[in-house]
Amino acid sequence: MSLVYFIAIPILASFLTPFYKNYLRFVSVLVNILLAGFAAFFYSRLPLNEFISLDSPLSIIFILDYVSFFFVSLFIGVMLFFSLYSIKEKNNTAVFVVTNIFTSGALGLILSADIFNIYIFFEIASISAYILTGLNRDKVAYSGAIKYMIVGAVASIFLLLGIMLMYLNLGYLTLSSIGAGFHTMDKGIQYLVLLSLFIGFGIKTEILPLNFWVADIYQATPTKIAALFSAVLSKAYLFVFFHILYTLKVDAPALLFLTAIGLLSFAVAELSALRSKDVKRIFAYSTLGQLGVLFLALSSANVVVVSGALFLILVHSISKLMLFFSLDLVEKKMHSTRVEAFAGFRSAFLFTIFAIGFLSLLGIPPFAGFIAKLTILKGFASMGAYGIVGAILAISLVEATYFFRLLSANQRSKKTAEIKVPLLQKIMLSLLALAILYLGLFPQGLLDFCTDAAQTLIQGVIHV
Amino acid sequence: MSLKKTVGLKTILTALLISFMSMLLLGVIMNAAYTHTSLGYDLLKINTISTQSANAVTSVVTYFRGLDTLGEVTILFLSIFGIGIGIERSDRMKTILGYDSTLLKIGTKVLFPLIVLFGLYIIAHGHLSPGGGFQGGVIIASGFLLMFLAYGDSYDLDHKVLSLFEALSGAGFILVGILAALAGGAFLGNMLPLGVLGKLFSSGILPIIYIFVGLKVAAEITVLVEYFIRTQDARDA
Amino acid sequence: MFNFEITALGNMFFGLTVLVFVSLFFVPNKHRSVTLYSLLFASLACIFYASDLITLFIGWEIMGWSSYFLIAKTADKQTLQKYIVFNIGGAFTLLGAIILIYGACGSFVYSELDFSAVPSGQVTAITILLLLTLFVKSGIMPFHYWVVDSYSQSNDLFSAVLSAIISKTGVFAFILIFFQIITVQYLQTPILEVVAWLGVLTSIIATFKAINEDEAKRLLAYSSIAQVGYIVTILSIMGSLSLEAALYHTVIHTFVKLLLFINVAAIIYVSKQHRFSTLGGLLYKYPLNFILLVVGIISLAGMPPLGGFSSKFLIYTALLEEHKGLLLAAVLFSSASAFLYCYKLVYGIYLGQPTNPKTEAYPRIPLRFYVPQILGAVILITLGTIPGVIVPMFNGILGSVGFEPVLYRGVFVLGSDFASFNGGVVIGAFGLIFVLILLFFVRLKNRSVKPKDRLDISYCGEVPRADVNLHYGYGMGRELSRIGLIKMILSRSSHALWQRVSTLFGDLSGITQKLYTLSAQNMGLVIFAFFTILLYMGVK
Repeated sequence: MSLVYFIAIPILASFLTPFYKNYLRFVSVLVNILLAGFAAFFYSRLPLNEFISLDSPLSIIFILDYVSFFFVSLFIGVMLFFSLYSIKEKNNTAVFVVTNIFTSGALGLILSADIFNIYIFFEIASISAYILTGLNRDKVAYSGAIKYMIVGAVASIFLLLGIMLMYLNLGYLTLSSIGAGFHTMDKGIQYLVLLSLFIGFGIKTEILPLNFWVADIYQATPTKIAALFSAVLSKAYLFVFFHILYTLKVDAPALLFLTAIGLLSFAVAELSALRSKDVKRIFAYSTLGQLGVLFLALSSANVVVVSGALFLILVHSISKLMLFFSLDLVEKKMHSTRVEAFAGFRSAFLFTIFAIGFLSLLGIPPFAGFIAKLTILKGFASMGAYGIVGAILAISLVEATYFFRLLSANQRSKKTAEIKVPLLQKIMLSLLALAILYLGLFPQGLLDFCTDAAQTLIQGVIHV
Repeated sequence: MSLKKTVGLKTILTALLISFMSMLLLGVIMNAAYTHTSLGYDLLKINTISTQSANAVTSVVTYFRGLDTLGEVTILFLSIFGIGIGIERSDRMKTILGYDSTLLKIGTKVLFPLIVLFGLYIIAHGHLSPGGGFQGGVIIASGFLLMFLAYGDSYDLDHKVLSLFEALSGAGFILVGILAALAGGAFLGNMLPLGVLGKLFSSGILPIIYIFVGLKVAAEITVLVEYFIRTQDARDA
Repeated sequence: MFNFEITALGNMFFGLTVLVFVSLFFVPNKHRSVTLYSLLFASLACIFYASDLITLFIGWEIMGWSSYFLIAKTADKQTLQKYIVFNIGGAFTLLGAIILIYGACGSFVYSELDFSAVPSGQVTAITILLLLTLFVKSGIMPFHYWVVDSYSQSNDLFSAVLSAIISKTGVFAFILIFFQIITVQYLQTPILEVVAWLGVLTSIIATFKAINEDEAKRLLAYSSIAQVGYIVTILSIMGSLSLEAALYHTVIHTFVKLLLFINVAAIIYVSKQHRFSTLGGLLYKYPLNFILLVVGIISLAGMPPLGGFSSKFLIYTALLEEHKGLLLAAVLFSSASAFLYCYKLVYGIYLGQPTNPKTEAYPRIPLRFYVPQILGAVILITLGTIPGVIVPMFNGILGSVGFEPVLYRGVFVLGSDFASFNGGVVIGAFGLIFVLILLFFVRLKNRSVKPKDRLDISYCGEVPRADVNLHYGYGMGRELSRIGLIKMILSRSSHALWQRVSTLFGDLSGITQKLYTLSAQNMGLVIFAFFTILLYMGVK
């Protein structure tokens, strides 16, 4: 068994599309089940390294340790869910061609421990995202896709600059070797490398001064695809950024700077959502806010906080998947994602789903988001950073205001349309809601795993 | 038009910003102390041992960093797929106007097989001489471009065959990699005898990979050429 | 995660909850949502029986949002916004306090919390955060903005729950945290002093707001704020007797508010009228309801001989014993003023000339409305007659939180060495006087003239038009606003402040939203500018 199958098989499935053009959706489900099987196979063998090509100095290493396993299984789960959820969409082959490659791009980002290889997967994931943005094939979608592409290209430039400088100075591409040699480099170059990586990944992880493009992109993207961006894509970039950062053993002031940026980004995003008139945009802002929290939590270099952040990543992915998919159903019926349209639908089932999703995002018990938030706050308390605790809670209050406003808008207004949720969708959305409730009530097993994963992440990739 | 209108304030500020940034960047990069790495020599040393290829670039592209090449091929596929999605809707089935010149048509008929042959040659000798899959693939695609230019709509490209080529060459690349992983242990690792340096049948798995890459690139670029040549703008020009 | 422990304190509050919920189960209600009510009930159990702070918090939050959904069906947008900002905000300060406690003591479990090594500054911070939470839930000034609107706009049944039980969770948490967990020796005295005065001020202001109120449920809401204000004041004395007084008043207030809210709900149910200015003259139509109301307001005003007197007596005794003369005066002032609004409930609804010509057509009150009312009345009368009967229970609670038990001298006597009274004697005397006066009036009744209809007051020398409000209580209390202090209290409204804060956040949101519509070109510029700034800072 080789880790490279995680990458190769989805791409293979997409390449061979002409042979089963109308059945690609089934193939996608099969591929994702197969990948889930691989993940299960590797679970008992953690942690493991694999040399994809053997000969140094240009060898490529894949690493599957606790933290990358966490992300790999999360992404496979999300993609499997996505493909099962859309299994009835006959005329949408293009989506599956791209999402398969998207899967392998995201998985490659997680698995690869080679900095140029990471760049390649960065591009694969990004380009699939540009295409997915344009899938609605109207003016808004195309202009969104072009905007995304331009901003993404800028991100790639900076990332490439950073990689180039490291390669030029060290002659290595493997993360572990770079980590060992990073501090022998010239101080100015070190700073420039870190800065370029921060800008490159900062754009992609949607951090404050670099995220002004995001809301428009989410609005242009088909609603279900927006869920993938929120649940998979941004998380993959986030992981890679901190993976590299912890491997390079960045000093404390830099981490503090990232914490501040994360907090600021949380505040501004939640504030923007307060008066937004479009539910999809509100979800986009909420994603930005949560990414801000993740950013500030991941940059803390504290095991408890980071494990809470990992838990939050999982919970946020599930919640956003649920919310965007439900919003898709609303959009199909009401032909709009405006707040008025949201207020006008009648469906007790969807209302419950939305309520659970919102409460979980707000970190309100008994849902899983609470455990994540509690763990993060506990960690900050043990570090003595009470200011951050206070700030997170205060900003969450703003978040609470708009989420509850949405819910009460639906509860109080006149209903114009009844939404009948198809059985398949009903089952799958209920599964997600149950998962959130389950993780909220019995989080211990996952928390333990997250602690192991957090330790691995903070340690960075070790030179062998 | 006044100067103020042609060169807005924003443009000036942007120019200032960019020049300031370049200054800072150059300052950092020029003032840095570099340590020279012996990477190139190490690479050449390893190349003769592990691949027996006369073209070290090919070894890097197809063997040492084979996975990156797979990624690049995927990116190529994706980009062209994306362009297809963008173009498909609005400008599908536009007719292509050929130049309608008998001389060109006859000349093209003679040249086309030669171009394809040359492309194949470049691909097959990727491990021996400069060139390889990417270059050869583009040369093949240029032959198809010539056919489009000369014959216009009367040139009937068989899309089924084209997409079959596209699919099989990409899949072949991955399958070879997986086969290698099953046989030799590493993905895209060498499972064939290396042969003698300089012979056509040498360097183990390298030429096979490059052939797949070449065919994939040829098919993709041909698709791209057709997409673009069928658009409104191309016809007006 | 979930850790529970059965305690005497929890038992008492949970017992109250069960009684209230069970009796309310009988009341007819349009917006009955079994799921939400069961969630609410479960969350209350979770709060009362929690044995660690996280379980408490989980219960607290579930209570918050399940109440929200219950209110949301009937309340308007601004009320809901206030509810969320205050309650979720309150819950988040609780979470902040819990996190601080964890940072200081390294545990969440009550029994493992030890504040002996914690710096006093941190204890103060924790205390203040916790107080914020409790003040929000109990509606202590200046966090009472949400209370009145939410109480009055939620459906009639749920108002009773809010006032009878949910406002008591603040009291419960106060006792739990400050008597049992942090304990008095680590608390700062000035803070307690401030809390005591906040409680009294709240009760005075709320009392006057209630007097001036025209809507029955809003009046009860203000009254609820005022009563919980007393409880908080007496709790902040932190003594054995004061804790007993607080517990006693909690029990009394729970049943008083259960009775009164359902009483008013019954009237609203039959008449569809919410305001005193459109009610009146219903005495002969609903005599049973009237009698129950009288039982309720006698207890609410703290007059002998009913249960309300017992608790007020303990409050006064406790204050006197601790030599808090000024506080006592303030409590007495507020308590005396409370007569005015209590009486308003009587005359506004039952006495005087009916304002509404359709009064005759009102249907009968469904019997189910009487179940909670009679429960409340029975308990209030019992506690007036044998006020000592629940002292052993309170002593159990006092013992469990580490306080000395108060003196128990049989079921009829309540009080301490300092002062005491015999409930049996009091009620006997009052009963005797009451029967005498009743007989007197019964004799008088045959001689009184019965008017033909509501406009038949010709013997007054006046023939009124049909639209004149003939109720004698109409506009009563208006002259109060001539008194400077009271005028000031009454003219204050949170509305403008709320509006200003809301607009401020809205404007800020508008500005930041603009940022998120940048074009790709400008976005690129932002990125390069940010890069250049950081690079410049780094190079320097």
